[in-house]
Amino acid sequence: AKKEETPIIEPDKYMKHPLQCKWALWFFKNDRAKKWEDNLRLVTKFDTVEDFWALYNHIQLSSKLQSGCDYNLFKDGIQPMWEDDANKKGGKWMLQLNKQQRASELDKIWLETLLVLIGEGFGEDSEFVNGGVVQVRNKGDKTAIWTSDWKNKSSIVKIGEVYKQRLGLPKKMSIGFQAHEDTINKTGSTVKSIYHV
Amino acid sequence: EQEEDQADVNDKKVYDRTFLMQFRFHNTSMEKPRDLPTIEDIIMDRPLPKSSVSNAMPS
Repeated sequence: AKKEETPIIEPDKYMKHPLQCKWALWFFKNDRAKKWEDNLRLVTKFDTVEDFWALYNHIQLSSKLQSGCDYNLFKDGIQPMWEDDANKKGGKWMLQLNKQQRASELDKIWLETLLVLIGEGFGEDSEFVNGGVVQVRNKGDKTAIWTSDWKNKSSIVKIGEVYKQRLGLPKKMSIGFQAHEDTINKTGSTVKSIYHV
Repeated sequence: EQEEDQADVNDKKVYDRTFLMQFRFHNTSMEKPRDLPTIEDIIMDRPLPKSSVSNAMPS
């Protein structure tokens, strides 16, 4: 006869620290032979502090990725693209790095971006935060916080202030917020920023 | 207890940097998640060596 199994208590299940939201990490690799959607892959979802670190500890640092690759961390249910309903009327606070900062700053900045997101660092305005993006590019890497509803000025500005402060950016340095619709409809190479902090 | 200090009045799970960072090298944080897809560019079998990562804030 089969030995009766005693239920095994997995202490970790009880000890892990739940996050407010469930998050999905996506990886994008620019492969011109494939369609854009096929270049975007869901890596995994997590909703505890420990599961976040287990993932973080087993994926490559941003600074080691090829140019053209992105990591996207978004709330579960929101696709990391403009077309998603949550992003459609939204925009992003973007930080443009220079080439030298890949070696010295990129990994730290992306980690701070991840921590402020999963830790609900934007307080009451967290509900307008959809996710974060790091883009590795030869001409200069970028990180961003994506929000919904760009017209909600007070929340958007507060989100930008928190992001800037959490990254430890100097006061005199300014970052800009761009609406996705302006990025989509841009005619030149630059997109105007609606807000600055 | 520190955990309780982290929760705000609305019971929202708000965790600051220091709180999150203390779990970085916890045993459970060093185990490879079981459900990861095969993506050669990013997925690693062994955790990032502690020496390769810094605890410092961006400067």
